[in-house]
Amino acid sequence: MSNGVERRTFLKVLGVSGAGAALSGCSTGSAEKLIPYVVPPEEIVPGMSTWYRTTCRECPAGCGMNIRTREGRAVKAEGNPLSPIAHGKLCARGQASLHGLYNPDRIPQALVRAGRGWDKLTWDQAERQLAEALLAHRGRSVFLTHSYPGSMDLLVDDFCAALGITRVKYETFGQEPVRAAHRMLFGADAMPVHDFSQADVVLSFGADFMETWGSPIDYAYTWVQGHAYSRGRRGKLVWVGPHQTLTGLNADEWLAVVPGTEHIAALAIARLIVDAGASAGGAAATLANVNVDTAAQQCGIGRAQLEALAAEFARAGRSLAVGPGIGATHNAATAVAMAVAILNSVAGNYGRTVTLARREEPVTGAASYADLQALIPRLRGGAVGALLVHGPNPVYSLPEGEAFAEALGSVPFVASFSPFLDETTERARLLLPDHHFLESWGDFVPRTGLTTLVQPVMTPVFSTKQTGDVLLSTAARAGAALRNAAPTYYDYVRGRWQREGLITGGGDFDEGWRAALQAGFVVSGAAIAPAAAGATAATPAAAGAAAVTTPGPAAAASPAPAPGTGVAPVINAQGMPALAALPAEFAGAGAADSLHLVIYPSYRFYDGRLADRPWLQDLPDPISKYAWESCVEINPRTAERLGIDNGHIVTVRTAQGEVRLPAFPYPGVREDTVAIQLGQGHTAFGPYAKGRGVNALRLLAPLADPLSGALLYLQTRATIAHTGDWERPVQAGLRLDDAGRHIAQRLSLEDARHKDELRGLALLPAGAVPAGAATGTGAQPDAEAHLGTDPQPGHTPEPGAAAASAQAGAGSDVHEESGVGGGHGAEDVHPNDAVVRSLQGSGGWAPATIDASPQGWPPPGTHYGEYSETQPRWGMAIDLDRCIGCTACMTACQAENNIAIVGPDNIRKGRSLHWIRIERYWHGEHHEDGVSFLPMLCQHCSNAPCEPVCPVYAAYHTPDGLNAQIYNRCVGTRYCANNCPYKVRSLNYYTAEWPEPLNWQLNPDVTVREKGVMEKCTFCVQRIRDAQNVARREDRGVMDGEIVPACAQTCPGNAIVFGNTKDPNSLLRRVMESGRGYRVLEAINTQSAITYLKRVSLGEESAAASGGH
Amino acid sequence: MRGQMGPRHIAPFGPRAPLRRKGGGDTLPPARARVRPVEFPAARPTGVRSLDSIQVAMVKPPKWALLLGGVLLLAVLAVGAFTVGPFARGGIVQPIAFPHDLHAGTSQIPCMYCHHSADRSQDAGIPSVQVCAGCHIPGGQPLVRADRPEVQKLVAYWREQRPIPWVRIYDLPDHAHFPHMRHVNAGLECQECHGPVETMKEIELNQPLRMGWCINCHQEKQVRLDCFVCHY
Repeated sequence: MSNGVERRTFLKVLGVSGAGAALSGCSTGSAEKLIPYVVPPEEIVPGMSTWYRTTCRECPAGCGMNIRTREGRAVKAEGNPLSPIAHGKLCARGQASLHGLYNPDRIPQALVRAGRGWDKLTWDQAERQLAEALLAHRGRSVFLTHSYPGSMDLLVDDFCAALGITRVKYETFGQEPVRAAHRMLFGADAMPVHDFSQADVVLSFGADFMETWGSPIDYAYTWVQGHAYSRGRRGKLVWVGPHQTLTGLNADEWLAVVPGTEHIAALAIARLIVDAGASAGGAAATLANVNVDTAAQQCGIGRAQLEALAAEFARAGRSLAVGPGIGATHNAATAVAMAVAILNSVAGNYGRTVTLARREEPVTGAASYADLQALIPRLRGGAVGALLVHGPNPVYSLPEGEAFAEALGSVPFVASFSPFLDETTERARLLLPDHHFLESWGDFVPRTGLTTLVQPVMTPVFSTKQTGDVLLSTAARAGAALRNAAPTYYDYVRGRWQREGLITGGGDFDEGWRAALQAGFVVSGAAIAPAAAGATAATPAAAGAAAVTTPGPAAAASPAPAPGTGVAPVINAQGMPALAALPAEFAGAGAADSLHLVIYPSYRFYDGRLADRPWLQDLPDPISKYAWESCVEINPRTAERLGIDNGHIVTVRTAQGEVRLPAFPYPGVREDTVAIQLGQGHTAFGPYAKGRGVNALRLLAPLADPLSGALLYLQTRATIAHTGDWERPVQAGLRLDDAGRHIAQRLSLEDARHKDELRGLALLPAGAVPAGAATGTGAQPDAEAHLGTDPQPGHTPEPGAAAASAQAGAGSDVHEESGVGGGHGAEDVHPNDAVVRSLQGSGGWAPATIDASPQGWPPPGTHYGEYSETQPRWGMAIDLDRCIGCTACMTACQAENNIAIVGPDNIRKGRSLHWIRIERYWHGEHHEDGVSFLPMLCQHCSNAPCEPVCPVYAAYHTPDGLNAQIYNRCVGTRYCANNCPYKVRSLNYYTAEWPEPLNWQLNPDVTVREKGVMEKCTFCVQRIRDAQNVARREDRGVMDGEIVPACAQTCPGNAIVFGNTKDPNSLLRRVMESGRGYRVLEAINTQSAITYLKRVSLGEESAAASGGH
Repeated sequence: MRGQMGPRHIAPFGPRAPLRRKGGGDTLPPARARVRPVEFPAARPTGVRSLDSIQVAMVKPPKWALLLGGVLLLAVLAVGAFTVGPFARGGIVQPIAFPHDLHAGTSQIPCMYCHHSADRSQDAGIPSVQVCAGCHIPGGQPLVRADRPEVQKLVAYWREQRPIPWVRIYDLPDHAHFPHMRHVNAGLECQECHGPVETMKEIELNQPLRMGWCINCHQEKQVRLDCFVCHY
């Protein structure tokens, strides 16, 4: 240094004064208090977790939930493994429900408008005001609610009937076209339940069933069951539409038909199937008019493609067509839905992969967008005296939101039950904030025959009150007699359960109720287990269903049930308009520079109702990787033509308006189409949501589908202009490909089969059914293992026997024996086999030997690191064929490990803190050859590049094979991050803040890091220690499957397996030894502990694309 | 008997104060949520800030001044830490003068009667007020020593249904995990870490409660020593 103070001297002084500060640090703290319970709650033991079962209400899917609480606070959400629609899994939205519970922007209590501000009210006063207003406007009131079948639905109906209120039940994604199609064709205004696990070929007409469409967790889970590679067989997903959502990216084939011609394509395929001999049923007349050649021309695809698809799709009930998706709703959307139904019908899928006897209940009977549109003039015209809003946020979620807001001004009394000050609520007069669902009692009917329970997992955070209770006491105050009045909503729910006999099996109601609470749901009728067996038992459906549940080729060979049996509903030809005469028409189609605008639902924010969850804002979008921001997706060729690159600020202009946002060149959108995601651009809703990105709905023409009343999300045309500005994008992954590094590898189906054949595995025919999946319950054993409640006995205990097995495992001869022998022999009776077989059956893993396996390191006779022969060796396997790239693991990890929310500016600088991230890599020179998703987390390398460069030994290897990061040693040099080839270490550039009460969520088992500390994945070491502590207490070893890291726990595809690589019987070892195993960047000899299983591609795989293996 | 190891290991400055829960710790560890930033009150004029002022005024303090400043600072802070801190011996006043010697010593009540979760949870558990009341005033009726003034305080807490705000004595920093059940189930006596509680009128910290002290025991008992066992 030029100033004369030597660096060395300076550091000495700094060190000395630093020590002084550290010493003084010990004495300046205030005395901490230990506050015991006065009377301890029965179920709480300090320091131990208490779990509650409840139901997720973040979107209408209603997945079952397990909530982990510590000392009376909810700290982690997980899926309920018993739930038939959650399968133990949650999406990122469900994981982030805790950020709804602890959101600092919740309305703390009842408020009433006072000038420009709010006055506090007691609940007594608030209810009195509500009752007075309802009495004053009796007969002129409207109650706008979400659709929530269950007790609350009945209560609202009762309440409305007693007080002369009109109810409008609106769900933003109400699936109006699907319902209208089923109404017209089959006379049932409903969305059927789909069973993807039974389908070899799935044809999705823009339905993002892994994200928001129907019951996304169930659909994603069952789709992986039916689709992922297993014993030589793999399913196929074809995506039809102008824009690929995350579900579309998972497709094996993308048919980018001309927007608005999806139904023409579907009908052409149906025609080809009928021509090949299938019965057309009621659709015969319609299909007779279809000219395949004309259709192919209209759709912009070749006839050969349609013929190939038809040949694949006609497989006697083992295929499935779904759609249209929300983002594919144009003014022929109902025609698309009808064409899809016809396609399913002629392929014999009704009663097999799609069941109208069981419905996605939340959309049943919901009002359409057109109904809500019709409400606006009524509000404006003064016909409505009082408007109550419970759920919807029309000022945000309607294209004519501003008109709705203005109309609200004409309504004398507006009350909102929203827990947040959203756009509609901030225009209300009276705020009656509802409890968060984790503080509430209630029930919900996600599907016909399945009733789930909602129970409070902790005492309310704020002085809110459950809307059910408010309605009950308001009705009493207004002197209105409800049909089933009860003192509290809890009693109301119980009353309904008692009345409707939801607790079956006789016996005491209270006992049954407790059992239901424990399970989280009840099933009525024989409806649940296999989805295909959904029809009532007394009809011929039973026979058909039984045939379907027969595994293997038997099912494929069994004839399609005759129409009219109740399994396959009969198409009512009378109700069917001439479909081909309903092509979508797009205004302004002639203009040369105008593009189709697709507005599609967000995986993270749903319809925008979850935009104020900090975790979800911080979570990069699965595709664009933009966080906190919106972007417009443009085909790279179009972008190039317009001179636009990633991060360029463009304006998107329609007749309705104009928005300014960054561009993201995206190969998954047609050249004549641009796409913007829903969910952002709030003008209220708290600081986490307000002013982030754009609200694309403001670009939409307020048009409704003439047949179904759905909002047309793909109807408007837009022009794009470059503003000339560029901003560093708030984006977590800047590249589309892996720069030729073979990070996400693939192999062809033939190669995968060949490898398994070499291993001597019995393979299924390439198109056959996995045995486990055919029963619909193949997932059960692994789900139980995940919960840890049903550990398989006889596993290698941790210290003693594992050492022996580790030594045995070092020899390659033992390898081959265990690898092949474990796979197929009927004589193999290891207790783990049931689990292994079920997993194989559900798609994915077959044991096989792999040479450079982690347990082979360090080589025998050498001494590297601190490995101990008496310790386990933790490792992981990730099957890329089961990863759908949904990023649920990222939020689960963030919740489990107290990972800070960094905000947009830090993400811009590449300072994201996620310990696991989902890479998406396009294959092919021009990104035309499909996408692979790859979860990237600390590889816990045995030969870790980060460890030797740490000057303070903060990064080191533990005897049980973990790459540890010791926070109290770390001085933040970042050498380790620089030396990590996987880029999975991140530094805390700031001391994180969790505004009260967000900090209530922090996991007490994990240290909260502060500024200057490097952090990374620990393989959830707190869960490892916890399992070890429990095992030691019970005087046994840790069992396989007992430790499940947060990412593996929530993965809807079951892509992640964690375990002890030294235990030759562990599930992990068997998965690792699959012929598809490889390690990322293996050539640099990091000896990582994570084995990836190559994605299986249906196309020809060139040597380069498969990584040269 | 390992219960006597405490005094042997007392730090040279005398009994140590418990580590700060939020912030502090021996090597400035990461802490829960917000932490007051570490300041260098005396070092700035002599050391750090001089770097800035040199750029402007070209004044160059001699090296010895820098070093002396640092050393003096260390001395001042060290003395301050162990003499006037609020945790100096006798500075703790518990809301109720609970005599462990009477309960655990004279009356021979097992530790786990009150600290009931020590063998199954990470936390040993602080007894609820109900546990105290269960012996002293079962069913609201005075039974055991209910006339004593300290028990009267308990009666008041129970009557008002208020928790007793005990002052924490044993406090590990947040980045160190100490699972009680693991140690209890391994057969360790409570006294090995907590000292001869049955002879203490008032609980006092007569162990250093520093990492070296933990390590000593882990070494003697030949159990795992790597950092990741406790620090994660």
